[in-house]
Amino acid sequence: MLRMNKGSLAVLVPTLMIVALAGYFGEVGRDSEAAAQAATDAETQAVASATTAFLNSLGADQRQKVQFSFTPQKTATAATFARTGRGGPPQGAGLGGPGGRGGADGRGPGGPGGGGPPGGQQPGQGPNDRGGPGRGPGGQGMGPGGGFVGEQYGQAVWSNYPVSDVPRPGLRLGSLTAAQHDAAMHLLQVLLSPKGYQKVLDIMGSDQALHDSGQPFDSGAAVYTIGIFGAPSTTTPWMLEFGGHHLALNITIMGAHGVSTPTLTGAQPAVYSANGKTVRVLAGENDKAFALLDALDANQRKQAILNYRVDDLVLGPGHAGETIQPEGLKVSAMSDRQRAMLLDVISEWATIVNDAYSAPRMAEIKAGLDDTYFAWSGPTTHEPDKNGSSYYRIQGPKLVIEFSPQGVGGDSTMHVHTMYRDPTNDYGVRFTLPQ
Amino acid sequence: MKKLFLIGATIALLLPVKAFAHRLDEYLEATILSIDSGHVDGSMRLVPGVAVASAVISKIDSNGDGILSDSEQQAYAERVLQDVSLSADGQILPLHLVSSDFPPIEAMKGGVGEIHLNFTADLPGGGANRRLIFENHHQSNIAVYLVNSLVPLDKNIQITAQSRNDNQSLYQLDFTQGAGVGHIFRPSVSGFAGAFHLGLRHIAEGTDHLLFLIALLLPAPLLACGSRWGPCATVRRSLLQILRIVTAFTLGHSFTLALAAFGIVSLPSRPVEVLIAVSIFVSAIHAIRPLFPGREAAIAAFFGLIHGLAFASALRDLGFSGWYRLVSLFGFNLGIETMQLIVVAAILPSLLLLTRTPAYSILRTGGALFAGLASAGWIIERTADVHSVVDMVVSGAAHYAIWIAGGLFLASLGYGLLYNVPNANYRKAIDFFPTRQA
Repeated sequence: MLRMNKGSLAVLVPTLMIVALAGYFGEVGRDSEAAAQAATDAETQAVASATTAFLNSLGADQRQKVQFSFTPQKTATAATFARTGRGGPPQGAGLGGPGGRGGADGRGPGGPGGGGPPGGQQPGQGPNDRGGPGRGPGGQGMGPGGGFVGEQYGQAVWSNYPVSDVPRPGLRLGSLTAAQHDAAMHLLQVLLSPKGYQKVLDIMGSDQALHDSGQPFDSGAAVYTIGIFGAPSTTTPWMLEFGGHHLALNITIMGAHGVSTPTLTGAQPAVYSANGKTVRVLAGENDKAFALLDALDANQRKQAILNYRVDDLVLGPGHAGETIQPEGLKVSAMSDRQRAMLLDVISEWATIVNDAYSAPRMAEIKAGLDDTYFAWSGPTTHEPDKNGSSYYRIQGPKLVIEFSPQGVGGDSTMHVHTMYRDPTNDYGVRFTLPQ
Repeated sequence: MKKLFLIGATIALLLPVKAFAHRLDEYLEATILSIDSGHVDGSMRLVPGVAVASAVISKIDSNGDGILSDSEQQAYAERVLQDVSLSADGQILPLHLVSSDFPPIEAMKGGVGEIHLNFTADLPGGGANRRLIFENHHQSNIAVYLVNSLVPLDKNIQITAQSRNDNQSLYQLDFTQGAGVGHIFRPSVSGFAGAFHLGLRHIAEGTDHLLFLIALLLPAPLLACGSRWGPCATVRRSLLQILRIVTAFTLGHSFTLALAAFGIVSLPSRPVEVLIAVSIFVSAIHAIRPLFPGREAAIAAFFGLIHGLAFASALRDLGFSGWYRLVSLFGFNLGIETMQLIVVAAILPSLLLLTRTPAYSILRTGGALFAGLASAGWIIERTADVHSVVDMVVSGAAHYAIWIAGGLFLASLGYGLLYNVPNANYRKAIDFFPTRQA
């Protein structure tokens, strides 16, 4: 009898302890989940308030130019050219309809797009009071609807081409009063992490330096454009777009979720001086990737380094939702230290937005890390205090990052385009259009 | 402020504008391919840089009137398709233009015009392991090429390898195509021939089956003496032994192949693949030190049962029923046997020639070690689902199989003659006379 009791005790006590522990941690887990939920709810509340404050600072006609409707659609389209006569003026007929896609599932090659860019939304643009030297009349003959090489999602449009080539819908910073400008920048500060906000300022500074060197197209901080798609809300989906020549932030907000894919960053010149300080734009993206490459052993390097040149973005504007066959070194063959370094590289893009939005995103990227690939093309070293001229790509189940130095007309270490996507969730479709 | 502006303007005028926003002296030609069971679709993005735009435009605007007419656009698009080529398993696939979009001529002059072309090609039936080659030579003097493939939506298609030359003008894509769809074999007349071909290729390209067969044949001309391989058997005896092994293997795999093809047994492919690697490993050990002397045929039959299950997965889901399934099964099996006999015929003379020379033990041990190492690698690879260099090394070697077999034959011929000409026994052996009885 006694022995029986001892035996059952031996079973019972550990079982109870396990149950208690499980209960405790389960509770803690739920608590921290609830806390995270509260944080993101609060974040969306703050972003919505800052957006409303910005809208309230505007006049009625400005509001009309900055606000668009937001209708979630399954995928973005490769925005093509205005079909309105070869070289003739575009019909301002406004919004391009969704372009037909080749494949039935929207994954085939992009087909012909709909109409032109939303030129009708922004007749005349804001006064560009910084139209600097070198901008002759007509520039390169590219009005809105000229060369149109961007990505269009509903009424939102972005590109890696200058604003004069591909007009972004919304209001240009240069058209705002000081108070309005402050309200717009405050909105960005609330929306982005401190590091992300600084990155945006550095990119704009670089574009300003390009502008100051004289360009025949719109560049400079004044032409960075903000657009609001849908009404600021903590429950219904809406989207913010901010960008210019080398920046495209597309942030879709749906309740507590904030999705920042697709994002394009870039720089030209990648190194510039402002206020007596030298700024190297996207230095983290460059240096951390080189550090990771250095941390690979010979065998890993052999797998990571592609034996061919990659001279441009593969999944740039117009390639939403596409998944190419991955290449390079699979993360499952990386050490813990190398994985941490890779996550650090990825964070340069994923944590541009504030912590409340980026934390679940980083967790999601971490969850798919084993099936993520790191591929490299180009030199394995870079000069100190300069970016390298090497292309790299990080591709996982829910992630595409491309870093693509542009060898156009000179030093590719001074000009770079980067792309950050989630083929399963560009524009937050997983939340706005759940399957 | 105004002064600054003036300075800026002066500098801008003095310095050549170096920083361009777009491609300058290059013609970006980016292609994305997507494969499904019966088609290869391609989407091309062509972006001439500012400095080369007029050269490209002049190629499109053939009458030079500054307008890109529909017929000029069509002609240029067709011309691009003539400058690219696509082949599947060595067979050129004709490309059909699906659509083309041209930017306004001004956009192109500014370096921001993108031409979009979509094409498609029919993908004819083929084996399980397929190779696509895409080449782009359009405007190669100014071109910057990019080429990639989308991950196929069709789960029966798995991309296994991609390779390119330095500038991506040449792109090679290897993929496996599960026989899920009727594109592989058209039932009726081609059913038998297609299945026969598949059988041939399955052995020729299925390096693991080849290696198993070779490992099993290596000691066939020898007699086991205790725990060592001893003096050789007679040629007649060797031939009989080889015949027995090959027949036993055939009986074994035909049996399970038939069972699996008709859905009577089915095993997940992973454990089967692991067991196949184990079978090679065991045969390799046996070739070094006899494990089952005299019972090679029984062992071959037993492992044949396992290999048959793997053959069945190549034939699985053919979708044929009744007569067609029988026909394709028969054709497939016949293909396997034929290729098996070719392999035996290719290495048998070498084995017999070398049997009586000291070099044979080197060949036998070396071959067995190679098979043993490769199979050990495969066992690990297939158990842990990781990729190692084993596959690359072995298929690299298999790629030169004909040369290796030919070289081996020449070497053995030379060496065998040198060593054996003074040896009367050898001549007797060649003359088919038994020299020693077991």
